[in-house]
This record gives sequence, C-alpha cells and structure tokens, in this order.
Amino acid sequence: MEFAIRVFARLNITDNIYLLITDTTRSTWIVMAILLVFAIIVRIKSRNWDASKKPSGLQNVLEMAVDAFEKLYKGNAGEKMAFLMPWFFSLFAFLILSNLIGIVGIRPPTADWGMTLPLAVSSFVLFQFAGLKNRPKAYLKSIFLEPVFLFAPINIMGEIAKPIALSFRLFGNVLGGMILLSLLYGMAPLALQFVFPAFLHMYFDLAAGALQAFIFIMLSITFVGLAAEE
Amino acid sequence: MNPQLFFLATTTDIFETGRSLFSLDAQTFIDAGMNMFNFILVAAFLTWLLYKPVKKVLAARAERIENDLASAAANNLSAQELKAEYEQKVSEIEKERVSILDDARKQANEKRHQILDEAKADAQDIKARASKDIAMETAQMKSAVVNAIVDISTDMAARLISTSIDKSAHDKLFTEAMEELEATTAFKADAVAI
Repeated sequence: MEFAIRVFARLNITDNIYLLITDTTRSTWIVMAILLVFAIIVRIKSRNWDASKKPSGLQNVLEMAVDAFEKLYKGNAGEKMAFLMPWFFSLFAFLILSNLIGIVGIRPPTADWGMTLPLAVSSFVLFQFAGLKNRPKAYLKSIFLEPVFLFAPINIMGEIAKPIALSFRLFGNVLGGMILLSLLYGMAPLALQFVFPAFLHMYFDLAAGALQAFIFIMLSITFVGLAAEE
Repeated sequence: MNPQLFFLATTTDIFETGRSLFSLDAQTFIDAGMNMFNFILVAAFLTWLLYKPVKKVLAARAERIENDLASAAANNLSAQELKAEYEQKVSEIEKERVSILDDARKQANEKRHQILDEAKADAQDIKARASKDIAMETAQMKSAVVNAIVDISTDMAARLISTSIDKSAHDKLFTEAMEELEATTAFKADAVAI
C-alpha cells in the first residue's frame, strides 16, 4: 500500500533543487480551479445584486456565510485587525474545500505537510504582525521580558511552536483519515467496500475535515486577537 | 550550499518512490513555497471576485438600513413634536372651553340678576299703579257717598217741604234717611274692600 506523494513531473531549478508536480500540486490546482470558477460565477452574478431587494439563492447563502464569518472573526480578533478578514475567509474556503475533496477520491492537499506548513506560517506572520503593529513595545516585552528575561527562550519557542502545532494538527488529522480510508479500501473484503465506507467518509472527510478547517482558522484568528489586544 | 548536507533527508529517485509523507528536506520547503504562492493567488482572486462583491452588497444593505433607521428616528421625532403640539392645542382648547363656560355662567348670572331686577321694577310699577287706582277708586267712592248724602238730603228736604211735618213725621223721615245712607255707605265700603 502506497501513501507516498506521487510525482508526475519535475522542473529542474538547479542540480539538486527542482519543482515537483505532485499529487498535492494537482489537488491544489483542482481546488484552486473550483474556487476560481465559483468566484468568477459569483462576480458575474453579483452585477445584478441589488442591496434594496430581498436576497435569494446564491446571494443569500454567500451573504450569510460572509456575515457569519465576519461575526466570528470580529468576536475573536476584534475590530483592529478587520482588514485581515478577506485573507482568513479565503483560507477557510480553501481549507474546507481541500479537506472535503477527499470525498471524490482526490488526495487532499492538506494531507501534505508541504501545504499545511506555509498556511500555518502565514498565520504566524500575521499574528506577529498584529502584535507588532498594535502594541509593539508591550508585545516584544511579553516575549522577551515576561515574566523575567530568563524566560525569553521559552517564550520564543512557544511562539515558534504555534505554527508548527497548527500545521501538524491539520496535516496529521487529514492524513490520518486518508490512511484509515485507504486501509479500509485496501484490506476490507469487497462486500464491505460498498455503502459502509460512506459513513467513514462522512466522519473523516466531512465532519473531521470541516472541523479541522474550523480549528485551524479559529486558532489563527484567536492568536491574531491575542497578539493585537491591549 | 548543498541541500543534502543541510536538511535531514533528500529525495533521490523521486519518480519511482514518490515524495515521502514527511521529511525536512529542501524539496518539502520548495513545495511549501510553491503552495504558498498558489494560496496567495487563490486568496487574491477570492478576495477580489467573491469577498468584495458580497461585502459591497452587505455594506450597501447596512447603509440602507441605517438610513431607514435614521429616517424612522426623524419621523418619530417629528411625530413626537406633532403630538406635543397637538396636546398643547388640546390643552389650550380645554382652557378656552373652561373660560367660555365661565363667561357664559357669568353672563347668565348677570342676565338673571338683570331680569330679576327688571321684574322687581315691573312689579313695583304694577303695585304703584294698583295703589294709585285704589286711591282713585276710593276718592270716587267718597264722592259717590257725598253725592248720595246730598241726594238723600235733597230728597228729605223735598219731602219736608212737600208735606206738613210734625214731630213724629220728622223723626220717621230722619230715620228713613239715615237707614238709606247707611245702606249706601255699607255698599260702597264693600266695593272698596274688594
């Protein structure tokens, strides 16, 4: 049984460094394509949207989603960092779709640490930025001088641990679900490969996927809020 | 710098083995960089094509609702002012009504007193006229009595003259004359009393 990330093509940059077109890359492109097509449809449809009329259909769903996300974001990160909302909204949409795409048999991009790491690092950069932008002295003091300067290495390790924990939590959960389902398909008798896996897909892909995307976003937003607050 | 020295593992025959699930090699970080670039691209497009149009509609609706609320508040204020004005007018009308009623009562009282005074004056006039009439009637009665006495006296004198009068006849005539006079006087007195 093979869980390694398959490589389809290689583009050499130097002798030892090259860009690989892998399962993850392919899945990411599929997710990107779905999101972009959906976004283009929304953009086209949005030309006919009228704020004075009662929303319906796609407009209604999107307004509810954006409104709910905005409340969630402002409730955890506050108003100061509201300009980062589009980033986290996009991240949430990307993670949800990436985690759920396993349902149709495509390897989830988030089952690769090479995908979850940059997303977690981006969150790390943003919550460091939030702290340094809103309360630079207090934020630096909280890392290097609190409770006393001797704890600075521990605080720095704590900060670095945040993106690592974020990335591994998502990567591990998605990969774990994928491995379990692959084992089931590989080892279970043929009779058990019908209907029964649907329930496992519901948990590992739908429930766990959505939950892990939500946890990733919630933690990122909360870190931003904690860093930014006085 | 050779990545093989720096990182913990490297991929060699990558097409055959595939990339390992987890390794801290250069390739992982290159993939991570490429994935980051892909996500930045997705985030930019999603923000531009999806998030902003939805936010624009939501903002427009929020603005419209705020305008409606402001308009409703202004209308409410206007209604409150109209209500206060109306209540003030009602209060003024009530005061005016009380004032009109008081004036009417006052005028009615004055009129009543005036009518009573006039009635009293009329009654005094009637009483005075009645007293005057009574006095005239009394005077007329007295004149009639005098005339009757004169007539009786004249009649007595005529009878005395026409007949030979002795002592008894004289007394008889005198008595008869006096009785007639008394009868006439009593009749007149009754008429005056009535």
